Amino acid sequence: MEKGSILAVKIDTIRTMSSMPRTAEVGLLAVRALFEKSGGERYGLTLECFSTVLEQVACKYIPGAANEQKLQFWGELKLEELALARACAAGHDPAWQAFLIRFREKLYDIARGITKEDSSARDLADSLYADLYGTSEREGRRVSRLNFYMGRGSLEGWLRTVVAQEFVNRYRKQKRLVSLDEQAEEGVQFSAAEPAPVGPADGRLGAALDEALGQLAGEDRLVLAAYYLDNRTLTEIGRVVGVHESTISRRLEKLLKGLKKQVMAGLVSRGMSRGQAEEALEVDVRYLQVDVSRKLQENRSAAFQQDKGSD
Amino acid sequence: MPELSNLLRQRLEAGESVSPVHPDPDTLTAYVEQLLPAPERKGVVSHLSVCAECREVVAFSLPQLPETALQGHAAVPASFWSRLWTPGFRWAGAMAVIAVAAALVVELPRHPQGFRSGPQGAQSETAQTAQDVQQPKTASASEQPALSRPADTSADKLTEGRTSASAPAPPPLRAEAHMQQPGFKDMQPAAVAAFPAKKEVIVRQQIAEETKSAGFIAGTAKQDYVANYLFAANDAKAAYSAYDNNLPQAPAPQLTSQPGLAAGTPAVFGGISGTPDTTINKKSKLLMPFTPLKHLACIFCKIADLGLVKTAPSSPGITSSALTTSAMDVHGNVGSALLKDPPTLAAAAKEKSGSGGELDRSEVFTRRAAAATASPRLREGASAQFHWKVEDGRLFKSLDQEPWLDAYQRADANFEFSFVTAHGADVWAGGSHATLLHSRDGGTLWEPVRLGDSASGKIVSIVASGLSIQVQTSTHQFWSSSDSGKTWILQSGQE
Repeated sequence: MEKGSILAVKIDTIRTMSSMPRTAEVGLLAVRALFEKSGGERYGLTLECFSTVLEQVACKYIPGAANEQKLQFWGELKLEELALARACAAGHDPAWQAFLIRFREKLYDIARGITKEDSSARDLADSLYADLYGTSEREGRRVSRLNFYMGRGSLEGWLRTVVAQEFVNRYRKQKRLVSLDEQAEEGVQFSAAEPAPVGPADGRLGAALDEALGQLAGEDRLVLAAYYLDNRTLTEIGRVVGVHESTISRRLEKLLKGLKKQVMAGLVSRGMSRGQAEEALEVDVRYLQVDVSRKLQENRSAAFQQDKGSD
Repeated sequence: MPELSNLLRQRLEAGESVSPVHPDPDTLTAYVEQLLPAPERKGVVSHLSVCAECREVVAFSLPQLPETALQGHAAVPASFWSRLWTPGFRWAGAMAVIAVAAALVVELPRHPQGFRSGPQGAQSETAQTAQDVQQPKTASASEQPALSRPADTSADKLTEGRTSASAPAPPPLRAEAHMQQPGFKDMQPAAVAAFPAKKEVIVRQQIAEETKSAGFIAGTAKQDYVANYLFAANDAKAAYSAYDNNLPQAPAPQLTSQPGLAAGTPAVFGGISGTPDTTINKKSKLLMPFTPLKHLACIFCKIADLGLVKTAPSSPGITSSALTTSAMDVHGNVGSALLKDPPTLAAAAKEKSGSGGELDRSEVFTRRAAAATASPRLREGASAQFHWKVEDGRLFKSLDQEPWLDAYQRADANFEFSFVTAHGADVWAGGSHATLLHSRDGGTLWEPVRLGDSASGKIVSIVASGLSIQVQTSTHQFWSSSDSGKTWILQSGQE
């Protein structure tokens, strides 16, 4: 029998035993089994350190959960990569050697795939390496960014997300810095700010659209936002949502038809004739001053009410 | 619905202005890898729908597609076939396909018998095979060269057999049977000697002769103006009808003056005995079809004539008889190619003759088989050398005007010939009692043509041009036909 299978049997046994009164002993056995499964020992990680990491992860995502829930949650983590990341963060050389062998070149490839440019990719990857190693110190201790890896996804995926976040942050920072000389050379005209649009916007149209958007599912709104705001292709949207692009195409068409139908019905219910409702839909959108962000955020899950700064 | 799209874009963009709390990279990674439980995934999706920054992060953190990854590295060398598949090569390939399709469209309808299939086609082939074997025996038993038909083959019977709905398809013409006849053997050296030695020159001369000769026009008029094969393909009855001049109405031909015809057709008025009535010729206007350029650019026909193509005669679908025999196909290109291998065809005919005894005894088939003695091109080529004359009420023909052979030997012939005109293999002969005979194969097979009940006198002039035939009798009757003698109209004279 393979090692992984043996560990799985052990974890199952421990889960069964977790219903017994000797909770502490069972928890210890379970953590030991998970530690063996992670292979943290070969990275210089101790059982106590690993147990602390597991508790940290459980406190973040399932605070106040029972032992059985914790065991189930821990069993779904990427334990081996979690142990590697935390060993690296702790400064163990074997872990860093393993990390560099496995992820150094991948990190450059990830950065190159995001920036589409080699020098920028090198710059981005090197800066991230510094963060991963921990150049900054907090309370006299070196702080590594790998300490924020929780093992919910693969370490490679986490690195890709971190690189993407860093790239987006850099882009937004640079976007704010505009060279007026360069813009003048490019012929950009600096005119006075346009006055706020004042027009014959009908409040009933905004209300009808608010109502229609409020009835949309989150994934439908995501599809609409990715298509109309981010100008993503159907393939990209399909990969984000996790469905085929043809499904996205059909869903978009269906969404637009449904939205128009709902808006028309809403306008009619608000006293408009059908002809007036069609005319209202043709009104220039610049005349519409309806803030729908509140409507779009009303159904947000409370799962992200926590501060992002916790990581 | 662009108005709704713009409206949506504006509203959604307004919703992006608020900065919400973002999920951590671990959660986003788990979302991308679809490892999140359903409730948590729903929350992430709700956040992504209003957070452009997180949507960007998620879009960037998606694993690279294989194609995209390859684009970032060294270019993969193109394969041989992909390099070969250049736009120029594609265009050349397209042009080649178009050329082949055009050649097929032009050439395939010229061999309609090749597509004949079914019971009637098989029956026709069987009958033809039986006659192939019978014909050499008849020819060898005859003292006279087989230029005329046996006396017992009644033309009326033949006509009945052709018009009968249950009649089998006409037996295809076979070249090998004709080659075994003494007449053909006698003629062959002379005909061959008349041609230049090189086959290429022969082809060019044949094309030149065909385009110049009015006889060629008469022989190919149906083929060029009435595409019966388009309707008769895979239909033995239709092909049979076409064989018997049961043609649809011909299109209006061009009007041409008589001298124009006479200049191009020296043999039209029969040479020796039949001096045409110039009065009639001057008064009447002949219907002259446009002379088509036949197969000038047909590479396939040239190759076939040069003997470079030998079609397998054992093919059940397209038999040699089917290729050589067609009511409309006087061209007979493939048939002439099949002549290159007569022993094979003769052997095949002998094999088939064992099962065709019943058909061997059929007069119709026997006569058909006797007529099927050469490919159309060979018949046309041979008849083009024929000279015709009427002397002492008898009809004669000759290759080089010596010797003269009796072209119509009939014991029951109760008339005397008075006029003959020939257009290549298409021969019209008239005689007393308004008797009019027509042969499409250079005098091998004669068909009686009935002018009308009121026809009288002897034929004094025949002007044939394509499908248009004009006949004058000694009683000053002027008969004309625009469908190759199928129907006649009395234009002037006694009723």
